[in-house]
Amino acid sequence: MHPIEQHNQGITRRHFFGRSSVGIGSAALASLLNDNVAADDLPGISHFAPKAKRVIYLFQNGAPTHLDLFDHKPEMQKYRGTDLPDTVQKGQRLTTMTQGKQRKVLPTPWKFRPYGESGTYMSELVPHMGSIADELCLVRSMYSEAINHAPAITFLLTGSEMPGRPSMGAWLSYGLGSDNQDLPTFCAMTSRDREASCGQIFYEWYWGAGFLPTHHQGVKFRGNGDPVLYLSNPQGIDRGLRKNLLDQLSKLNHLKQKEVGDPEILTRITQYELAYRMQASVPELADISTEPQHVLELYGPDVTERGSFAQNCLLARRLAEKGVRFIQLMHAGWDQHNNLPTQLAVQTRDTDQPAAGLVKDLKQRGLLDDTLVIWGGEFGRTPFAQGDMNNEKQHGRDHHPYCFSLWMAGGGIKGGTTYGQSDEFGYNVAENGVHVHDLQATILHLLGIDHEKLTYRFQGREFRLTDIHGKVVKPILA
Amino acid sequence: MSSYRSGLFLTAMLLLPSVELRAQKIDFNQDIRPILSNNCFLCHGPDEGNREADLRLDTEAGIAELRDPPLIVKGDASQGEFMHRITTNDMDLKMPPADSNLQLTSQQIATLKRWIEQGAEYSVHWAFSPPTKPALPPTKNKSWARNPLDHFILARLEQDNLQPSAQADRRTLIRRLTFDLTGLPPTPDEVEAFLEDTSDDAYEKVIKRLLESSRYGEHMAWAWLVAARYSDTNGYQGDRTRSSYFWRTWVIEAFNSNMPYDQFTIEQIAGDLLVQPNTSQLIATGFNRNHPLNGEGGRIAEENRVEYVFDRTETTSTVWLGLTMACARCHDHKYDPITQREYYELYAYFNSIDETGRVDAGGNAKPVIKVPTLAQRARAEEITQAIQQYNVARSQSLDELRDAREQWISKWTAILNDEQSSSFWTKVVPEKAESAEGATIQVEPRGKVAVSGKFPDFDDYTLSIPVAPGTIEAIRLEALTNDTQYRGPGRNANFVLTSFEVALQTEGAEPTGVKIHEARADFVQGGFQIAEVLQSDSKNGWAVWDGELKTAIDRQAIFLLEQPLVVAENSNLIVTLKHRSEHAKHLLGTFALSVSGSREVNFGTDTVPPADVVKILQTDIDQWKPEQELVVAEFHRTTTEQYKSATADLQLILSEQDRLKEGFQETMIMRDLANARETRMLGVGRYDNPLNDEKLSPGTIAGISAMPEDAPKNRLGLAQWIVSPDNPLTSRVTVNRFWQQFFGTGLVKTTEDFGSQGEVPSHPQLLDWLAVDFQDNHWNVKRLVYQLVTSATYKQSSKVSPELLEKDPYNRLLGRAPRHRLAAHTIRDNALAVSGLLVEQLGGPSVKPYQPPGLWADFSFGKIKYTQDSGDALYRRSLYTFWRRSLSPPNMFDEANRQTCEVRSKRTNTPLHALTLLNDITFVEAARVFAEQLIQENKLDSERFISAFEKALSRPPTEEELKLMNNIVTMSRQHYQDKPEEAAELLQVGESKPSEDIPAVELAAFTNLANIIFNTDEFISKE
Repeated sequence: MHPIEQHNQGITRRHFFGRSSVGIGSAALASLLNDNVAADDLPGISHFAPKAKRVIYLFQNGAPTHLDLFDHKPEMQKYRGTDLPDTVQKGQRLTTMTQGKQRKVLPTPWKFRPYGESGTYMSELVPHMGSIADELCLVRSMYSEAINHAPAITFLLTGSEMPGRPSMGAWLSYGLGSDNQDLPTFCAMTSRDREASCGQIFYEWYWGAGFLPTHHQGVKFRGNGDPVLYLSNPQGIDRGLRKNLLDQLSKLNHLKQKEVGDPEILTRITQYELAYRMQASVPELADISTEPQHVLELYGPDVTERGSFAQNCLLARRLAEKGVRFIQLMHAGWDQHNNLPTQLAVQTRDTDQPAAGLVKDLKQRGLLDDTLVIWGGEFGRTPFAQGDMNNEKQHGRDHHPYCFSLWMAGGGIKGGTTYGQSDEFGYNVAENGVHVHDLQATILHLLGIDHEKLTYRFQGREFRLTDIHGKVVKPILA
Repeated sequence: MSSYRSGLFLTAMLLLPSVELRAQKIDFNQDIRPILSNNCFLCHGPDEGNREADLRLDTEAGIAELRDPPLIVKGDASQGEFMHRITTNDMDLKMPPADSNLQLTSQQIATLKRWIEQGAEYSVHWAFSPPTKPALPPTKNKSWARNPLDHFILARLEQDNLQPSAQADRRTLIRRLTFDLTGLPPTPDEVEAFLEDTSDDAYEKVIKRLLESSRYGEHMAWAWLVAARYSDTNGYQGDRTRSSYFWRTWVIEAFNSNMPYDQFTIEQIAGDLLVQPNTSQLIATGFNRNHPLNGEGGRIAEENRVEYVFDRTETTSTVWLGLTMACARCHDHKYDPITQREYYELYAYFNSIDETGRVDAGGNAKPVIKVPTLAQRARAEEITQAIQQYNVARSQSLDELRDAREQWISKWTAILNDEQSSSFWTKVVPEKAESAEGATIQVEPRGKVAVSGKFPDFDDYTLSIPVAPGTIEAIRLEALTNDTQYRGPGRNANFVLTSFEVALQTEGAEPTGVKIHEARADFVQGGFQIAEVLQSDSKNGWAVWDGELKTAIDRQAIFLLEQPLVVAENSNLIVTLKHRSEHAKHLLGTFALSVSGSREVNFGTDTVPPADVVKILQTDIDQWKPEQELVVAEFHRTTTEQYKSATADLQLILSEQDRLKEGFQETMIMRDLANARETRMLGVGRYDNPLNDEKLSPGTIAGISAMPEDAPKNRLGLAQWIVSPDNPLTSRVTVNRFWQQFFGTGLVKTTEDFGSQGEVPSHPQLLDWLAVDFQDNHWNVKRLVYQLVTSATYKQSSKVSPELLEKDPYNRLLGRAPRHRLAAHTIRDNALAVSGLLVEQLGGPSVKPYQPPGLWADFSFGKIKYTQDSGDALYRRSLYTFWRRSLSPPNMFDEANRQTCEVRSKRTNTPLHALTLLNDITFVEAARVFAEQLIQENKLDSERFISAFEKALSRPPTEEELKLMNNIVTMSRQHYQDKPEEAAELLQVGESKPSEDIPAVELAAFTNLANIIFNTDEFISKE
């Protein structure tokens, strides 16, 4: 190599890696598809040994009802149709949909039973989840602050109800960098309930980078068209030709770099090479035809349907295998204001087996140990009925942030356990409440990060995913 | 090492490239405040609620406070609690405490020590003390500086023993300048002209040309749109479309007309509160309506409304003051002297908008006004002028008309004295007029009948009209234009008269029907013949629409009676006008009836003047009183051809004006309630959680500057405070943002934060010099821009030597021009312009160019679908691309998301960008169209290669580059000769049709060449 060029590149490396080593601005380098960070002697920012290397978040937009799925309240039967006591409700704010209306206690119409050796009680609607009960830590004392979907989802994923902050995956991309050669660090996939019973929108900021550099944002893997936007060459340019053309481009850019000395050009050359690699790696990843039948069966019958939650679960496993750091599945539905009896079963059928299948598949591959899987929504649903108590077909439940359930598995979580308790109506947390910021702190902890130390300075302030709150929920750690 | 993670170390490294090289004298603002702010203010700063140990380190009094033990002993760093606590090893005493995750570096401790040794001088935070214009610093190099700002840049470089770079070559200069001032590349002709222009002011001439181009405003508008969180939709669930583009056009025009920045500020913050604001000033207030609107079900409207007020408060603060106000929503600011109370006082200015928190005006939210599109506005201006002209024509001076009037008087005096002459119309005045459906009918003294009030679908009018004894042979109905919307003659422009019936009633007797022999009209609408009105039960009738919305014309119908009608004393004509067609609301609005004793009458037959005028005419002209003379003169004027023709024209144009205004669209503006809402401090910013009962008045921040004494206590006062000469922030913040736009990074890097957590300026004196100069020159933006781009600093080459790169990697000292990637929207415009596809059309609604299918449907569950435009709309500048707040245009990478105000742009470098530029239809189509040009305009490959570079990169290629281009074309030709079907496929990309004169293989090969050129670093970079 030409000595000046060599020198330039040397500077480039020192320049960038130097910048990196100064602060966690470092991971600005650990760009989307960059080389393994550790291999470049970047410190990363692990504060202690991580239990998990990656996260698969199975986010259930619309808020699944904890009372019909996870939080067994047999005592509620005897209060059926009576007013929820004010001593329980405590004048907390409700949405405009149920504000000032009757609040009649509505016990679940479904049966619960103990599953697994741990004997964890769950609903008959989620038998597959039951079959992995011994892997799960079921948290029954989650609580949040927002009472409407978008703010609550935004709060859970970014730590703030208002859009504008980085989402959890972006924080991890920024903090830990990439762990693979040719796929993004943070991927997002979406699916929706089969019968389109709810209208929740998937906002980009759910996987956005907020004020972090934009390459930390989640790359959306799409359910139709190109799996990643603009991935395919235009018609009439095949891969071989593209390669040859890009080689010429690279030479043109090298000439330019030699002339002007701007190290950013070298980065651009690399990014074009990575783009080319991605054009192969992404379709390969999305191609599930190589999966054996017994694996497909784990995820249930929808797995062959592109864009389904089931197929997204399978893709999540494939991404996890490739070292993608944060995989965010979002499944919209669950918003059963007046169609609980008809819709809940439909939606558990869509999600129960694929989610359980994913955990089993990870386990059989030895990936569960260092993959944290989380299943849950932005809040729960009210123990009282929304709408007419006497019209059973239209029973429903309103939004409920004061207590709800979610489960975690793998990656340093104590399996076969439950954590926290709600009151006898499942209305308020009775014991060991886990605030959304506590959940966030715990997730970061499992990945080896002190949530108080993962900060980014913006508008004069050091921002954190957990704002100024959050404590790690130690009892659920393995 | 946790200190590695402290942001401050990074800051110090980047911003103060070498503290050691700086003067030995410690400067509180440059050196000390950042350390204290980052490490101490959280607990010992402005926030009274969380202040520890009652110690305050952000004020002079706090630092100088007498404490026991003493805090700081000026001049002696070996004493004092301050130094003790930051240097002790006792973890219980150590500051900052371990659990704060903060730690001072040894370098910082040394700096603090030196500060104390030098006397621990305090000064007010630099940004809060008013700027003064400093003298130009001396420099060793006396020949480099071109204008004052260069002196500051050079002096700072020399301080570090650095030299500025050589001037960039002329091709680079014109290219840089054209991108910076218009967002588009220069054409090869423009480059050539500049190269050939050897005059001393060749460069300045280019600047002037570019500043006068309307592209300038389009380009400058982008950053302002981003700061203003402009979007075409509301965001949140539903994400409905709003019509804010009027405001966008306002911004473009404001930049193009070089509106002074203080006026630009006042009109946007408070245009509605100016004296008799015009439409443009009202549109300007759309600035603070650009925030998201939440239409989600279950949301509490008041909670939304409060969010909007927060947004306005914080956006206004960031954009004009460079303050991070949001912190003070919930508590006193931790770093800057802004109390929570002051936050809500500022909030109070924005808290009384006449709004509900709902999306209650289509996709907009009230308050709104109807405003014209650009084309409508142009026509409206023409109409206003025409109306003035017609009104002038209609008010010809009575003196001028004297001769004509005298003739007219003699004519009518003669006629009125001649008993025989009867071939005239005589207007009749109904004494009773009724509507079958209860509409109101009024009869004017001279007989004009006007219908108003209730507006039924169908109606019959019955008129009872006293008539003088004699004979009637003909009756005339005049359908008259009027002052209602569309100006008549129908109540809703057109009418369908289905029946015209006449009867005669002589005192006491039953009315007897009068048969009509014939009906004529001076105008009939096709298929609506006048004869129909003689069929009493007909659904058909007479109508007057001319097919072009020109209905506002007086029309006549004449009815000849079968027999001469002999009228006795005390008789009334009973006339019935029926409107019973199939066309609802087609009713006569204003009309008049006349009779004649002759059958020889026609549409042009004279009408006898009205009774009151006749009465005067019949008296001796010498006896007329002045008021009688005036009555006659004024009436006469209405009979002149000039008056009649101007009136007819006026009515038509007023009617057009009515329709034009009806076509105006609503856009959101600011408007205050008559009675201000009460403002209270809100606990943790919760809308329903007032901290106490105290009602706050609007107010500004005391720590910045005082309110001008005569300023009103409303948003207008706020705007005046923002641009008052005493405000230390606005001017600095503004010149800094423009600096950032042209030099890549602001003099204060944290464009959004001029508070104590923001970075200190790299060139504080330069910033102040520019800030004062800008104000002294009436906030003249084009002048400021001219200053920036004529500086030697700006004209430097952007090439960087390894030495310079190492010494100043981020180019904060500006020893070279910045070199960086163009914004995504500029790259798209660049490709469109170079290919010749760009369609330039200023302003108007947003357009929907190419985007991968299904994106909107995917995110919205199919509820919102993208309907791509076609034709010209595909090739408009990116500024006009429809911006969905929830899902920004997919090819605009790194662009702000328009959720909240952003004043600093992001510039990353990822493979996703590469994929976009390689594969997006926009770029592939542009490449093909560019290739067509290259092939058609040049014969030889080598000529085509040269042309390609000159058009796309403003320079000829080098030998090596020619070789690489040849490689691309050769390999592509070979490939497509083997696979011609692939060539054909490639050419199909995009909506425009490929040229059929060029062989597909050839065109495809050059399309690949163009595609690669569009992906070179040089094409997408500002150099």
